[in-house]
Formats: sequence, structure tokens, C-alpha cells
Amino acid sequence: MLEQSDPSVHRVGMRKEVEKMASKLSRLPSGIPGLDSMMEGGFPFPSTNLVAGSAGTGKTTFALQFLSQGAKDGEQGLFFTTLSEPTQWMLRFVSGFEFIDKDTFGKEIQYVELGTFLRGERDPERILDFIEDHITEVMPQRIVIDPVTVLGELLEDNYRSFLYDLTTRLKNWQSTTILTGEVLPNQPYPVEVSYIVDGILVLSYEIAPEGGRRKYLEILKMRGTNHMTGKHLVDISVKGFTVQPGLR
Amino acid sequence: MSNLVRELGPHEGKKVLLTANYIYLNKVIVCLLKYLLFIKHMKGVYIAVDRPYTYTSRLLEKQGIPQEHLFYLDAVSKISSEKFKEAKNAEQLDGPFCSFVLEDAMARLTKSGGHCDDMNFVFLDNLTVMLSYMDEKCLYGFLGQFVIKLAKDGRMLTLTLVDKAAHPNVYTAAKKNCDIEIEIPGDWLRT
Amino acid sequence: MKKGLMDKPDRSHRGDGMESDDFVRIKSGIPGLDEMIEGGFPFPSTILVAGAAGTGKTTFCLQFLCEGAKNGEQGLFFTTLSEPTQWMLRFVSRFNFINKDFFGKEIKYVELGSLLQEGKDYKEVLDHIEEEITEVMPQRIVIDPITVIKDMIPPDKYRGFLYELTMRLKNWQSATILTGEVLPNEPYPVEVSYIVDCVLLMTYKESEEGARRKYLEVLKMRGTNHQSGKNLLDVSKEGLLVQAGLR
Repeated sequence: MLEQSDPSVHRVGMRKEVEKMASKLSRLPSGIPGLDSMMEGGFPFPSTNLVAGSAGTGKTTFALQFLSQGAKDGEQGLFFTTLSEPTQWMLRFVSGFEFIDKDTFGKEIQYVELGTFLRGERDPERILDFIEDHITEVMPQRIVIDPVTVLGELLEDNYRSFLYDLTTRLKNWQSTTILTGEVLPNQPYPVEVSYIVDGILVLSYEIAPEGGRRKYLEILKMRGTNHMTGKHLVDISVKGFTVQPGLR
Repeated sequence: MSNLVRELGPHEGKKVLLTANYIYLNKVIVCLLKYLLFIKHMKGVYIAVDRPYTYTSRLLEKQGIPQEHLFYLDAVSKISSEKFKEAKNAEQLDGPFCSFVLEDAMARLTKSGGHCDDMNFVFLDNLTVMLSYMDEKCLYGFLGQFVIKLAKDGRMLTLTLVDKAAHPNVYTAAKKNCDIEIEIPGDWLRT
Repeated sequence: MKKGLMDKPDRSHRGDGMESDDFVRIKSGIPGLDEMIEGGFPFPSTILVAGAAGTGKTTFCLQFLCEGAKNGEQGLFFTTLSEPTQWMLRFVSRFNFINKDFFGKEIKYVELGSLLQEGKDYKEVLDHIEEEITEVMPQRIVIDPITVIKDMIPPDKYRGFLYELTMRLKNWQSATILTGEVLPNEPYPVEVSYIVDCVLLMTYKESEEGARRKYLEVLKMRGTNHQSGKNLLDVSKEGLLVQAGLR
């Protein structure tokens, strides 16, 4: 007879909770004020979503806020950094945001440096196994891979099949995932990723006539959701990311 | 350098708070460890929270400061995306997020029979960055415990480093937990 | 909402959610620029200064290093071209803001061009940079320009190289400027822009009278509510000066 304290019992128990959640809740609140009302209450659960934007548009902030919401709701989050910034540096620049709760670091939100692994590894299978090992260990409801696009440079011809395999595996793990994507200035979103995700959000900005920056968010696609379209004004302040739907 | 020697001279066995401009961190570390290891021939634990320990190790090597009596406790390389360099005088912790991990590691290392039980100083590098990884309450609690749990009931010389101007709150809290404050002015570190 | 033991003062709209007392900043040395970036560059950090030839990148770098030198900070200037010190000193003598005595002491000039041309592996270049850093312990570093290295590294390794370089530079506790030559088909070196903390773009426009007007724009600055848009740049023997508010 297995003891209550046996870790495998705990895991089975957690899985049951997660499955219960999955059937009840088909949406996860994004953690971004103003956004949920644009997409029928939140991100579908489970789903894989792309958040794309050029340098400085707030993708990492968005992703962290998404995980912070999960932590507040008692969910487990997993943040994979790739070749943009290791966790050590990323966290230095986010201390000021009000949504950050440092007590969750290493607990409700776990950080994994996929970048360390990537610097020695080019085999897509092994990269997928590495990601999956961490998912099995942590059992997250929310996952972030920030950014996923660097894998394109590393994997070249293997990128498409890698992305396909990634989303297939993620689907088996009952989670909502955000993949962030770096874009070139003339490119709206990374095309290869766009094919395999359920949702696409694009972050952009314009220089206003008076010189400041106007930031926008646009939902290009969200499977199974009657979402708002067009660019909506975004504000990034000490409160984090907020969307003002309806304002252009 | 001689200025630092003069200040630190009679303070073994005490809790020292060093304040310096963060931009001169490398020079402060070199200066301090040269004094402790090279001149006073002490043995100590170096707790790395700002960057993987290998940076300090390479720096000391280049500057000609011997490291055989230095033990590295690396609390940050796990989230740094650099592979931890295995060495018999270095240990990697799971992360810088929870001060208990640090306290427990120190207690284990410095207890009788532990790897570092004959060491007489511990240097935490540095308090200025710790706020990135833990919230204020957690950090201030850690500061209070630092000497009691970490430093073998106050028998070790404990040194922490903070940039007073960058983090006045942390400085104020750290000051309550130290016997001596040594301010290292820019003049000592300028080229 | 969680509150810290010391309540942070209420901050009105800040572009990136940061409070200026949460990390250390270092002055840029360019009058008018620090006001646009909440007092200076974050420290440590990596900064891309991109622009076509002749837009003032090297001048920017020297002004940055001289700002430090004036205050006793140590600087390290790496050139990836094969330009000997005499060339640099001739360039420097055009300006009043530079004290030649800094060279060799507060500002150490290191020529990486020959190393790169010998076809050395980029890891050796990184190690060489690190040797200099551990010897001299600089607060400010310049690598001018970074873009030539792109031609010497296979494309699938370039991102990894940039990542490793910038990570090491920050772990070595310095504010580093990397300059980037701009190619005709891109507004700035894009791969570098993703990895660095700050991106500044220097451009010029010919006015109707044929005069050349130079501009500086802050495209990205981590943890900072920076001003956006092009600002007019004044160039004289005193160096560069940002005329805030003028476009």
C-alpha cells in the first residue's frame, strides 16, 4: 500500500487535479489586464501561443506576467530561457514590477536555462527530451519558452519538424504555453512558428508625432475563440503590461 | 590597499559591512581577498550570488592571489546558463532564491568535521544584487541569521558588501547586523 | 498586493516598470543623453551604438571612455580593425575633450584586428578579451566595431558567440559599448539588437541646403523609461552633444 507521502501518489493526485481543472476550465486568465475580455476570458487551456515582437516590445514582461498570474492562482509555471538572456540577468531588470512576487522564484515559477543546453547541443530530439524532462518533473500548467526563434538559427532545416514535434509533445502535457518570437523589423511575426500555434499575438510600436512611443497589441489568431481584431493600445508601467481594448 | 589593511586590521571575529561603489566591484574583491588570503593567511568561504564563482577565480588567478584556502559556494551559476565548473573547492547550490539553501549549506560546511570547519572568514558577494532574487522581508531575515547560522556562532569574520547609494534600504538593514562598517571610497579604487 | 517592508514611493507612468533606485547607472559622457535615459546606462550592461560610417560612433565611444577616465574609472578600447595606436591618437587630437595622457593609463587601447585576421577561433578572441579585462579591471569597455566579427564566424554560431560575449562582459562588471556598422538592407544589426540591453541608432540626413544633420535615437534600453524618437546631435571639437527636444 502506498503511503500518502510517497511522491508518486502525490503526482497522481496532482494529475487528477489538473485533469479536473482542464475539463472544467477551458480558459486560463492571461494576467494581462484588458486582454482577457478580448479573447473570451483568457487563453484556451491547453494551447500553444506565439507572442511576437521586435526588440524592446515587452515579450518577456508579458510572459512573466502570464506566469505570475498562474502562481497567484496556485498553478505551477515553467520558464525556459534560450539564447537571449539567462535568468540571472532577466530577473535584475524586473524587480520593480508590482506583479513580481519573488517568493515564487524557484517554487511556483521555476526557471530553466535551455540556453546552457543549446550551446552544446544541436540534435532536435535531445532538445525536445530536455524540455520534456523538465515538464515531467515540474508538471506546470503554464509554460514559457523565451524566445523560441533562436532555435531556427541553430536547427536550420530541422526547425520546422522540431516545432511540429514540440507542439505535439506540449499538447500531451495539459498546459498553456507561450512561445515568444523575435521578429525582423519588416516582418510581422515568425512565419514558421505561426503555422503550428493555436494563437498569435503581435506586439508592435510606433513613434508618435510628439516623440514618445505608442505600443500596440494585436490578436492575429486564436483558435476556437471569437477574439477582438486590430491593434489596441498597450501601456507598460510599474504595474506591468496592460491593454486598453478599443483604444487605437 | 594599505588603507584597507589599516581599517580591517584589528577586526577578526567580527561582522563587517563593506560599502563601496558597485562599479568597482572587481577591485574591491581583489583588494579584500589579497588582504585576507595573501597577507593575513586566513582561510575562508566565498559566497557568490552576483556571478558564477569562476569569474572571481579567474580574476584572482590573473592578479596573482592564491586560492587554495578559499572555498566557493556558488549560489547563482544554476540560473546563469554557464556550466558549473566542478572543483574540489567549489559547490553549486540550487539557486539564489531561497536563503535557507544558503544557510543550510553554510551550517553543513562549517560544522565540526565539515569541509570548511577550519575556516575563519566568510565573504558574501554581494548584498546589492540579492534583491533581484528575493524580496525585502526574506533578505532582511537572512541578514539577521547570517552571522548566527552562517558564521559558526560568530566566531568567523563575516563580511558583506553593499552599494549604499544604490540600495539605501538594504544598507540600513545590513548595518543593524554588523559590528563594523567600512566605507571604501572611490579614491582607494581609482586608477 | 504584496508590499515590501519599506513602501516604494508611488511612481507615475514609467515605460518599463522600473524604479531608478533599483539598479546602478553609469553616466554616458554625452551631454543631453543621460536626461533621456533616466540618468545613465544601467550597470552592468551591453550597449549597441549602430550607424553608418561617419555618423560619430567612434567619437561616442571615446567620449564615453573619457567620462570615466575623468573620474578615475578604468577604460578598455578594443578595435577589431587593424588600427595601430598612432591612428587612434591622430583621431583623438581632433577633439578638445580628450586628454592624451589618458591613453595607456585610464584608457587602454587594444588592437584585435591582427588576431582576427590570423583566422583564430572566436573562442581565442573571447579569451584574449578576458585576459585584458582581468588584468585591467575596467568599468567601461568599447569594442569597435563588433560587426566585422560576423564575417569570421559561421552564421549558425554567430548568435551563440554574441550571447557568450555579452554575458561574459556583464559578468565582468562593466558597461560595454559595441559599435555596429549598418548595412544598406537593414536599419541596424538585428541579431546584436536582441542580445544587448541598449540600442542607440546614429543617423544623418542631408538638408535642402546640402548640410548634413546628425541624429541620435534610443531604440531600446532595458529597465528604463527612455525617450524615443530622433534627437539632433551637435558635433564639434567638444565632441557630441544631444540637443534634447530638437528633431
